Amino acid sequence: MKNSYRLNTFLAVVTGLVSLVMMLYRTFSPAAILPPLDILMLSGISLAALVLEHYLGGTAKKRHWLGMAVFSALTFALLPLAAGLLSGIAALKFAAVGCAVFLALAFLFTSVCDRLATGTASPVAPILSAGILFLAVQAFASMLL
Amino acid sequence: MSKKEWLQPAIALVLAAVILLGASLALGPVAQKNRQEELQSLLGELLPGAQSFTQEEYTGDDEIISAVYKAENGYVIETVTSGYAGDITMLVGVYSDGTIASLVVRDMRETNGLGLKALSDVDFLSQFLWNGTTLTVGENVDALTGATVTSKAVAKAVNAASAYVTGADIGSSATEWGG
Repeated sequence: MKNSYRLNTFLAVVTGLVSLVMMLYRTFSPAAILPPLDILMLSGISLAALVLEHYLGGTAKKRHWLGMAVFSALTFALLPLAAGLLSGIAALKFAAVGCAVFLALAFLFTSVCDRLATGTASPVAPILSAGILFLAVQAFASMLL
Repeated sequence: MSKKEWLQPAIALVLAAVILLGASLALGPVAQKNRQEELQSLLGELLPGAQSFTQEEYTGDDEIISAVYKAENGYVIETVTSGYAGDITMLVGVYSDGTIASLVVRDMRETNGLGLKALSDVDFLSQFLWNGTTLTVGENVDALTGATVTSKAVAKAVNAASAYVTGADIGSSATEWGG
């Protein structure tokens, strides 16, 4: 039986790596303009974790949504905070928005992948689904401006 | 096993946080030093002829101005204006007579292909140089195509920096009648 929280493990790994890269850029290339920590960044991280979960052992049969929400909020609050990328209220806001984005994308991604899994496109279904969802988030984010 | 499933992500999270915190603490002084060096190098390029800079406290009312660096032949003013998608942080080099020596965008979140061109569009940016008059988009400044809000934000920053040095900004301490 697959661990129901594997997705959160991948999320912690991806968020940690992104935070580390941004921290190194800030340290050694202070003039670089880094991508903002916004909805697009959150969706990119979440979708990368979902794709990794799917390819590295398959999606969990059952998800504990409450536990996932708690772990994702902790991940998005603690890791950027530890890397010095965010602080105080900004970290809490990032965690709240990140939790909502992650849960919405996890639900949508799982639904779309399940539908595509039996078709001929199944090997690339996760990447295509993630790409389409990312474009959808981009369109949604531009409406918020 | 199933009851302790949460242990795996918890360990991953704690491990990642500890690694990041350690790296952040170790690299903190290096980052600070690199930031200072980069700023000093940039200030020297923004105001040709200046030998040294001292940071002055800005006590005026203009909320756009966030930092002031004084040199023998002028000032470099840091400004933060509202663009289309977020704040635009700029450094503007101004000679003592109010003419603009140079400007550079330090941070922005503008739309790729539109407002983001304010970073590097030479035709747009060069309109602000060697100019001591008030700049208005649509009158003496051509806006970037599809990025009027960004262009206005840049013009506003340049005007505020110039006004600080000439004394048009009544909160300025750059002139004897300011402050």
